[in-house]
Amino acid sequence: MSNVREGGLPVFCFDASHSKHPEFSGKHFVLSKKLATNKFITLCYAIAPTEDVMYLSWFFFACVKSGEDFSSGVMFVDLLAKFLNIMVNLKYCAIHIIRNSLRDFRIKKLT
Amino acid sequence: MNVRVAIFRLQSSSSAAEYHVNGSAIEDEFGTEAMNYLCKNIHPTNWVVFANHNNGNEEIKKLPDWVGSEDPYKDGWPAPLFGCRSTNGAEGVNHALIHNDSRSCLPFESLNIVLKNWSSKEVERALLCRKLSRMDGDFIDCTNNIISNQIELSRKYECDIMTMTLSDVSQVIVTRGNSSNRYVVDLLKRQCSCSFFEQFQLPCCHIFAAKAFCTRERFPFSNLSDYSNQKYLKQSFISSHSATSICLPTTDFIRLRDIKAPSFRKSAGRPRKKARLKSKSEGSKLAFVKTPKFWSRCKMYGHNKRTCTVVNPGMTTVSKENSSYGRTYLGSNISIFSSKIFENVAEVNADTCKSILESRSFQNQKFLHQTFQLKKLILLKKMIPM
Repeated sequence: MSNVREGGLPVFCFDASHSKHPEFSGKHFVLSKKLATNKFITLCYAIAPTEDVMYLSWFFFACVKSGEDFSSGVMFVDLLAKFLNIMVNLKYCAIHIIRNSLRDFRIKKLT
Repeated sequence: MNVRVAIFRLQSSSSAAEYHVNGSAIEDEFGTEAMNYLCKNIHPTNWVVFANHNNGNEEIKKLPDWVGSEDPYKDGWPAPLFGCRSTNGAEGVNHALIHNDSRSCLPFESLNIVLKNWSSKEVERALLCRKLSRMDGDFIDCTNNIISNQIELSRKYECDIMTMTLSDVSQVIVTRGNSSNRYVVDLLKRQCSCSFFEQFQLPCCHIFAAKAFCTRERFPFSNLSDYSNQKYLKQSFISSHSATSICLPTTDFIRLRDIKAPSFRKSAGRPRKKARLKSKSEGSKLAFVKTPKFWSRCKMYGHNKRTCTVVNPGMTTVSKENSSYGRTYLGSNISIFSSKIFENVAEVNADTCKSILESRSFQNQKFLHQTFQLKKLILLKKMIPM
């Protein structure tokens, strides 16, 4: 999918989700990219046992090794992924920040 | 104020002054802890839009005061966000994985499902490319809509010449009515100082206004693609998506020795015949739903016939002698009316009720059903003076 890497806007989104299989409690990693049509395309997908720094850095180094260029764009991540030691322009997801602030400060004013 | 609106407003503030105003509004509304969390604990350069602009020195100087830490990227790492502010793109894919049941599968099966979906989406994109190649214009539909909106906005702006060269106008100041905001359009460098141009990298309404002011030329002018990012162009989209291909894994790639069946654990007891117990709403009799006690005579919940105090206050049990309907209610302070005859009657006289209750026919329940075709007794909250 090298052509897709060249196309699309330089905005990446990364998110991890847990598996729902009773015998496998791993994590699904998804990296997507924004297109000019205002839609997102999935660039990379991986399954890992846990979502920790080791497996996250393995995932991103594998992406870089396969030809992905993160230096020219920004990557939106949740706050858990801020401990990554990779040279990527990380931007935090505003919706996760809202969720965390609602949870931590018990703000009930949602009207 | 809504929390989400307040935080989104803080995130989308386009200058340091605007960020400061929005932050102080959050402090007033939701307390200092929330303000400290949003403005100090989370570095503003990592999530606020104005940190992704090419800020001036005054803007950059304000950042360390709020953060107060020696961060290597305290001045920000400016980059266009293209209107994106969250991880919705990746979370949408995660929801699609649930829809395709790939998250509830073992790893190899889920990989297979994901690759099949990718291939189907690539076919859709290839068809879109074919459709785009037949259409006129440099941009795709989505971008054309944005540009047409900006052209409509440009008619409300007024322009003045800022600098001129010997041959042509180089810089133009664009203003709107009485607004204090002024935007500088550099026609030689093909740039505008507004946040829309910096973030979306598309020609903004100020560029259109300046272009119309200088050249008396309305849209479409010839070099529109020079003002926009090349990624928006139709040709780049077609070249990137028309020739993609995905190789699905075949049996040659699979080594059957590596894939093992999941471990089986025998559960205790006899296996169920049905996979799931049906709920009461689905028509199951097995499902136990605890319902509160209900006494149909007084139409009230929480007690039954034996513990009813409404019928005869002070009495917890009803004796056999007074157990017939007529006598029981004769001893109470509550009047009764029954049968379809009184359905449309709003109020019943106390004397008529008393005469019905004292009559022998009322005391005989069977006779009562036959004569009045009684379905249910309805209590009136009207007191009878006994």
